[in-house]
Amino acid sequence: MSSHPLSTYALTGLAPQESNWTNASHMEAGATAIPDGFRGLLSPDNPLFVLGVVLGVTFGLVGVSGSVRLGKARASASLDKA
Amino acid sequence: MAAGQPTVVLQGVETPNVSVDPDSFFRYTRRLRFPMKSLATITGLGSTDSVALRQTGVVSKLLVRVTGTVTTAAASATTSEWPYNLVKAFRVAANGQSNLINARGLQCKMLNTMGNPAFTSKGVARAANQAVGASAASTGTLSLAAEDWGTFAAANQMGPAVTALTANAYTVDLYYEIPLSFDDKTLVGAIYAQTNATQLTLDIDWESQANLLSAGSFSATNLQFQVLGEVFSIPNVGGRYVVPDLSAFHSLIGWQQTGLGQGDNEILLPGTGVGRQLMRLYGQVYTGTAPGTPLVVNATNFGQIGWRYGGNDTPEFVPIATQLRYINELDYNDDIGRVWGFFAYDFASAWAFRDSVDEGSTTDLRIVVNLVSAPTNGVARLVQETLFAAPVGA
Repeated sequence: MSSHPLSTYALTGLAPQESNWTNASHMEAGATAIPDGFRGLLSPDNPLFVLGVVLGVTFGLVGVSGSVRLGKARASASLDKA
Repeated sequence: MAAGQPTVVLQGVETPNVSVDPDSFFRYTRRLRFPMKSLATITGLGSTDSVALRQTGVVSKLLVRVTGTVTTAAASATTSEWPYNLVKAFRVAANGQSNLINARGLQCKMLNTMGNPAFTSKGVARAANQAVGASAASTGTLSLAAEDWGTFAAANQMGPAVTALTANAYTVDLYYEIPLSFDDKTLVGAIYAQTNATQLTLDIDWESQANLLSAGSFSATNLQFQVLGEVFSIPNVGGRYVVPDLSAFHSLIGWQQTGLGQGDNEILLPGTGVGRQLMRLYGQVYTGTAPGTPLVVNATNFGQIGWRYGGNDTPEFVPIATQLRYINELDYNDDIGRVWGFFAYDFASAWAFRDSVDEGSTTDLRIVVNLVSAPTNGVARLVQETLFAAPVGA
């Protein structure tokens, strides 16, 4: 509303207040905005993304070098058995 | 409102769901004027009438009419409170804000002139016995020709500080405007009233006989009052109810400072703070036995008048008050210092966005009034007109 020519701010100079504190953005200094939804998961600024990369690399190496037990199924792979 | 209906918080109260859309609102709204209180006899001088206002639409202003007759005993005399300060105070409470308006009748009349330069008392002649100081006036009385300060006959009229009134019944017809919104056009500060979540009230404090008359008495008073509301309907546009930007409240608060002396008097503004914007600051200085007589704004009575904050920051001052009287007449098309002795610093008439004063960054905000001579029981009656953010606005 603050930029509208008929807003209280534009008409009188009274600085607008937060319309509703539940909508207010509470960001710490230096924080970086992360997109919402699935795009947020792929953002390099998201710590979960970094964690995902670490886990992916870890289990990826496990996958190509050993075996993973998933419930009753057993999957194994080895470069030596190719 | 029906159960389960979505609600929003507007001006601090829960309301049915509305959208803030000034363009649509101003295009489709309808101006309404209707009585919120039909003509009724006043409770009595020195007493208070309380009016619950209609809860409909967006309320812009209230128009109060006081009419009837007063009968004086022989040899009665009025004080300078007559006629407009017959209303000692208009007080409006709305949407959880008590006393948004708390100002004398004369102070409200002054604001009518300030907010509406087309409203001028130039050419409205008041006879010699109807002007302060018993001198004829045809400008600066703040009255309109349709008003009646008190008439029995052409030679028997009441006015401020009139002596030797004869025992007659004088007709009275006074009009006041209570500005709930700061601006008639854009409705900044108007009150959202379309809700049962709150109560809107107008209290009218009537001045006592002792302060209206300096001699004699009223042998009878037959005064009535009515309240007319100016309201704007809330239109439904494309399935949405729309309202203008109602994120601010408009406040008009009068206060007084006693003990004025010769020289500079620095008078602090009460209630200043973050989120408040000062739009206008005006007042008078009274001298003499209470309730006193207003000092005419001239070089004999006043030296410099200015406003100040912080240690000694003085953005505006005029060395001689007559300069301010001239500036005020340019702004308001009325010589407000002539009869009632008003002086004003106006931060809104030219361009409020540029000129209005942020009270959050002007600590110890005060007005400086220099008096040439020490007044008798000197009292400054001052008014600040502010806008402040509604607790949770649109």
